[in-house]
Amino acid sequence: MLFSSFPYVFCFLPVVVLGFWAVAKLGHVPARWFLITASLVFYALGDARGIPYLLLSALVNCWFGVRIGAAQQGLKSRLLRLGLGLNVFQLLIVKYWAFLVSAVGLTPPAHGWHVPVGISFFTLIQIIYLIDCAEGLAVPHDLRQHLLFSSFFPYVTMGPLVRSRDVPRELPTAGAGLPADNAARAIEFFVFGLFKKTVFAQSLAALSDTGWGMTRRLSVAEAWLTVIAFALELYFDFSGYTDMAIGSAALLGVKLPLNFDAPYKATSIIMFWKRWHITLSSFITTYLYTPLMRLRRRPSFGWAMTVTVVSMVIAGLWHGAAWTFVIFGLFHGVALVINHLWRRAKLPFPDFLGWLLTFGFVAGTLILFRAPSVAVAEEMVGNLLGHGGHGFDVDAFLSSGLAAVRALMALAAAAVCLFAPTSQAVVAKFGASYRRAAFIVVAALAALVFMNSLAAKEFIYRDF
Amino acid sequence: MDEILMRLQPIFRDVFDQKNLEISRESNAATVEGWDSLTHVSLVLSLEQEFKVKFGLGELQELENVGGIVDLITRKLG
Repeated sequence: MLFSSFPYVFCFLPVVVLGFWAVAKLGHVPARWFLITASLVFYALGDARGIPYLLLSALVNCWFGVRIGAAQQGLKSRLLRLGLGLNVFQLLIVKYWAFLVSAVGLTPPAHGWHVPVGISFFTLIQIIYLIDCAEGLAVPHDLRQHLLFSSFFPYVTMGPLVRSRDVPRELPTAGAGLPADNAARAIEFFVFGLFKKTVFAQSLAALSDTGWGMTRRLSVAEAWLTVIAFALELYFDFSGYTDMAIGSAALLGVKLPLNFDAPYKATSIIMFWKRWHITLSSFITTYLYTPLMRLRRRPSFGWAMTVTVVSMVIAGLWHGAAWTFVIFGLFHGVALVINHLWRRAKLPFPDFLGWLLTFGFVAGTLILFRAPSVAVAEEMVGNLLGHGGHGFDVDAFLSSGLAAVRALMALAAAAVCLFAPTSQAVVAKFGASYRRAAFIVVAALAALVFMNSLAAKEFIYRDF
Repeated sequence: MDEILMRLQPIFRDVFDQKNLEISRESNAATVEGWDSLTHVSLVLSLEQEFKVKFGLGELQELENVGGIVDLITRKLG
């Protein structure tokens, strides 16, 4: 079920929120079971076949968490290694089997594994949890706590990546209730996310999908428009989803971590990765980059740069089992190295030029994100450089209706991500006023109109 | 606690390669030039050597400002 769909906005979310606060009056246990059931229903509506898998992952990691928490030092680290190994192994087998087999020159099986929705996200969440248990930073969950932690519907399919401390061990009970201003903030977050997805991302998708549907015929200008539109679409799609996740969880009294902080305002690639998919960047830095750095007692700059590239290649591959993602990671790793070398040399770089280069680089490398294969990515790069066709007739785009509105919304989206404050900055300044209420109502109505008029499109990160 | 802050000063100057860098409890990645993921890890490794402590991976995200670093080291030494 999409967050940006009528069944979710008008049925699932209100029923779960009202039901939860009603059941919470009966105590922790029924409240927790209520949310577990709601979360499993949510997951099953998107991928029923993935349910046994999600449950198995939760049960196995629950067992490991308890054992790791209780074990003495030597056994603790052996159990941790075994638990982490199992998580990585199952991800490799389920998601990457065909890719790995074809990478070594063999023919992959015709019928691969079913890849459960959100496997890349919920596996990383389990990995963080086991490490937190081993380091004494999380008290191991009991079964109920862990089932909810593993399946909580706001983040189970697409993050943000959470830690044990992000999901309260004790849910609110009778008398606690949800303060009215917290509810209003949560609704604002949700409305901003819904608007980002339905008005901005889907308008941009109309442009980028048209271009990507005819990569053999694009003129230079059309190719650039397509590439830039996709970069903006991906941002509004994923950050819109995250805002809706944060808003949904906040309505249940749970505060999720932020995932975006105006990444397209970044003036360097280092700054970009501090602001884009923050919980994943943080995971890569903490659980991949740091242990690799610690392999050396006094890591040299050269070692740090090697580790940077390796970490980014793995981060690229995390997104999907394809060479396009490997190359994407490699490009970003190399760009970070160049950025670090530049800083080390203490050479100046004008902000505007830095922004232009960063955005251009990110948009350019996102071709690899969107292209179904390296060959098609090369075709698009050829178009950008003027080796493409003579342009497509704009009929395909215009005939899809609402073309002018969409084009206008795409322009507005570009202005918003470059100049407007972030959702979290706006919500942080919350104060009840008629003007603010009118703003939110108009945004919500616009989102609903677009939700109704455009074919609902899946979130891009759902496939990762 | 002040003593820890004083011991941090030369480490920060060394890691960030700024001879005149002055830090306070409020200093963070936004106020100290060059504080990025790379220098953060170098800083953590230097701190571990100086104070003979070992930070858990999950604790690294708490070290986002000097005050957090001082508090965590105080807890570890205490």
